[in-house]
Amino acid sequence: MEIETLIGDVLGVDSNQVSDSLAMKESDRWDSLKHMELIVALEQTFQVELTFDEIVAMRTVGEIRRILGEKGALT
Amino acid sequence: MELHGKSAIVTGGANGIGRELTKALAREGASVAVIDLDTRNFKSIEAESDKVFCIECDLTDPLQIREKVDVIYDRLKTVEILVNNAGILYSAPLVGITSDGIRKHDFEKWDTVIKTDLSSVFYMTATVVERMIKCRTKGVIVNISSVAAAGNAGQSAYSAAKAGVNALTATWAKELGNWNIRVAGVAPGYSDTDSTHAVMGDGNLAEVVSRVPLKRLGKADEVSAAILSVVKNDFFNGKILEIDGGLIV
Ligand SMILES: NC(=O)c1ccc[n+]([C@@H]2O[C@H](COP(=O)([O-])OP(=O)(O)OC[C@H]3O[C@@H](n4cnc5c(N)ncnc54)[C@H](O)[C@@H]3O)[C@@H](O)[C@H]2O)c1
Repeated sequence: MEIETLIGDVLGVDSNQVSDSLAMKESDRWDSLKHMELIVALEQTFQVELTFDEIVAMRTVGEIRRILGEKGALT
Repeated sequence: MELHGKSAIVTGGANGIGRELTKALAREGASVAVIDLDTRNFKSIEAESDKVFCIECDLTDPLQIREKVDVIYDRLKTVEILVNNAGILYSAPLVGITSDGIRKHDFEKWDTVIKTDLSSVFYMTATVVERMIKCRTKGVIVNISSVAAAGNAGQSAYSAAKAGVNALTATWAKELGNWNIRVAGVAPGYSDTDSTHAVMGDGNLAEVVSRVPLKRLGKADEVSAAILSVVKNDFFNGKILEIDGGLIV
């Protein structure tokens, strides 16, 4: 599954609206509860275990993509 | 209970659900004392009906409550109906990741919500019921709870306060029945008031609405009609009426 689709599904927005610049700070749908839903969905879909620091850092779509990339989850 | 000629106190009656309820009670012929911290609408509320007057009071302060209830009794002589409606909504997870990093629930906010949504109900009811008992008034107390009393993720303080309100409702119904005083609750689901929009944000509200079978928020007049029916029905006691469009089924 594409990152955009997954994030769009969790946040309840169209995946076309999900770009790397989408940030928690600017989205009224991305609050702390949604953030944890998103983390669980990312871990399950991409079969990764995220550290606490990574979870805190994943506050933009760009950061999510970077961290998943570093973990080899996007290949 | 026939409302014509009766006297009521509505806390938090200056806005939202309480304001609608105040109008409805006055339409049915009751005199209404509105107690609120927010005085901005007092003039327009009083202009709408000569049966309504407004009193400024911070319900987290029991001394102010005592003083203001005395003023109300001086004016109305008796009070048959108390609706504990004032409250604040506050959302924050116990510990959450926010756009600023990890943050735990603010302890002062916890105290404020518990004081405003739970302790105020206790102070207000104790003060009014003492007068009701002394005057041998056949009365009714209606506590405005919330479906959040069952535990809403992201609303520790609000959920705990409203669960406390439900417990007080059951406790007082058992204690006060012998005095001919009924105590019941109304638990709205998400309703279309200014404070709901301000606190929840439109994104979160859209998500909530999608979970309501009727796919909309409740209207303040629908909730106030439910409160009115609880006030009127002399056999509704100790229970909480849920009005949530089917959110919790
Ligand atoms: N609107 C909803 O979606 C909803 C859902 C469930 C339960 N409720 C409950 O219904 C009640 C009314 O909600 P509303 O949406 O009409 O809210 P509102 O904010 O429109 O009105 C609440 C009123 O309480 C007053 N108030 C707050 N703190 C006070 C204090 N310390 N002293 C005196 N007055 C004080 C406010 O000034 C305000 O006028 C509340 O108890 C709320 O918890 C509302």
